[in-house]
Amino acid sequence: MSERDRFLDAMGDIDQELLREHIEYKKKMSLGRMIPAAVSAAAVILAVGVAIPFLTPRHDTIPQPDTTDDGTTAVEPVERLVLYSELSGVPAYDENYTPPADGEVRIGSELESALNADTDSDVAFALVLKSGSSEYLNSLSDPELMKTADEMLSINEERMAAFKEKFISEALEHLRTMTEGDYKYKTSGYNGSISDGIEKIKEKYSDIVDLHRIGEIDYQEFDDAMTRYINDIDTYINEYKDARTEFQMEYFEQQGKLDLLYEEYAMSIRDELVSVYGDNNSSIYWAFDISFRGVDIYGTWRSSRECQQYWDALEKRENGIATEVDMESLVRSWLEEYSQNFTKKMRAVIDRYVFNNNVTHTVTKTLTDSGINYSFLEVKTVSEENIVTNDTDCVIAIMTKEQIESFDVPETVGVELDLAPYDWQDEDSDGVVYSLQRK
Amino acid sequence: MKNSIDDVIIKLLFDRDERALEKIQTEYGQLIKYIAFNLFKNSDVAEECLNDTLLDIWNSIPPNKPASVSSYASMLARRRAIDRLRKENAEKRIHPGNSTYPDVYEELADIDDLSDRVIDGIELSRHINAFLKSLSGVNREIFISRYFDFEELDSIAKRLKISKNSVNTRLFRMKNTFKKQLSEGGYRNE
Repeated sequence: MSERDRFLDAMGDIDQELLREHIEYKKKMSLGRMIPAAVSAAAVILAVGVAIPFLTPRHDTIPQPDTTDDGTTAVEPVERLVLYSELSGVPAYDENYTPPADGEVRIGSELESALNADTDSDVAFALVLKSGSSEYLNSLSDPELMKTADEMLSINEERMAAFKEKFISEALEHLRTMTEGDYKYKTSGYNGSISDGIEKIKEKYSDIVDLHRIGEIDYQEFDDAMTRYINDIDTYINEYKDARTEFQMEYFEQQGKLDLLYEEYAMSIRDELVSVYGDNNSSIYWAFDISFRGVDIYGTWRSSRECQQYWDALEKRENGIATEVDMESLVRSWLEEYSQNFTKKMRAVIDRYVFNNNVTHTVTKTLTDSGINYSFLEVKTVSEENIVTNDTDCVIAIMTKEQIESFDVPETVGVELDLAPYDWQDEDSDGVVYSLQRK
Repeated sequence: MKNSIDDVIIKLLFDRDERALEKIQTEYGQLIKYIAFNLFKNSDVAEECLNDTLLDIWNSIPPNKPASVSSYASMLARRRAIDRLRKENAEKRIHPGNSTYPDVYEELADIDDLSDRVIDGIELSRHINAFLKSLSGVNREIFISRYFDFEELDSIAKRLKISKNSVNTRLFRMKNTFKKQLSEGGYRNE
């Protein structure tokens, strides 16, 4: 049995607690990848008959309301809150559902438990407010609920700044090593093209040819010299390759470290957010995912702009135009820029998803705290006929102020959110695109 | 939640109640099949490994009383799957197509210079555990996913939201660190 077989066998006997953590983590991560699709949909709290005209899914899963002859959508004078989810595995209507006694109703946890259900049907679920909710709807205008994502994130500012500083400091450390490696390479004598070096060797031996031609040295001496010449060329080529390989290895090693630092930095921000918003809040993972990919960490460092700036600075430093301090200043500036871009993008996504999700949490918590019942309906049963019942008498719509104003539906109560910076378009994990447009 | 399910399963097994196997299959069936599937890329074989694992669990609990049924089942399933793979490879009965095993095996080529004369399997496990505990959460996840689960690099990268290159780089570094640690402990051939 080979050593790697023994290694693989030994891996099979790893600590059970470590393995259990791994299994749990994996489950959570896979859940996290499923939930965001639901969260994105859940963040769009729409009213059937009011907002659905704005929802133009490019598929036929979400039911469409009937339209009148003139093309406008019939709006029922009812109050209701509907959350759509495009998840596979969300259970059908659960008539036995009761809100948890502790009042901590979170959409995320609802979906989480729903995902654990043993079903593979494609369903959406709707959260429908029953009658008697009007007074609680008024509480939705509570300024507390109108907190912006900036305010919510501000509690992290100091710690995030510390992360950033640590990241920059470590990155600079690695960049210095890269600089040293580069310097060593350039001063090693092998930094030019390989043909330049060979030309130098040729020059060194050119006299031998002349001396032999004029008969100053005999053929044996000439032959020995040519043998040395060929050996020197071989040695040079090998040394050149070795030096270049060594430099490249070192360079990429350091570059790889920098890539990892980016990643660690991004993850530290994610972990920090998770520590604040809770591990169950899968929006964080999604927001992180979007931000991370959006900034394109690998593309950033290897992009021509940063590389060019970096190499230009090296050049300047070698020519005595720039100093080590200038180098650091340059690197710090684009690392700062990177981290700001990352945070900005992260914040925008959090603003949109976490914050809105948080509002959803607050709404449901408010409802639960107030003893309002709501139930889940299977998508197949979500229709005008069975949602519009005598028990539902209001519409809740969370949309932009402009959108709310565009309706002349007095029964509609809107929770105003500033969604203006975003185009309000979603794409779930199955590639289904939703968009909210003005009528 | 899972703990209470595990408690129920363990109790049923100790009572020699076959409903325990149904519960294991319901709760952990996918998990058990997951590892076998990574190794064989064959649903039928994964299903057979599940049955073998259930039998192993039935035969080993009691006397064993694992703290986590999921971990225990995973370990047994993995052992079963690897044994089967080695046996079938030796008999040249299968050609595991897109199985992750050959890649992982190739990746571990430089592990072959560890000395089996000095370090036995138990000691190696002890070192691996100590090493795993010294890793960051993400790195540990990568290491276990690759060398315990035989998960594909692309899949690990996607799940952890990092690039495949990063997964590769991290694995490379971790393997080097592990070998270095063993080397410093005098366990490696020089």
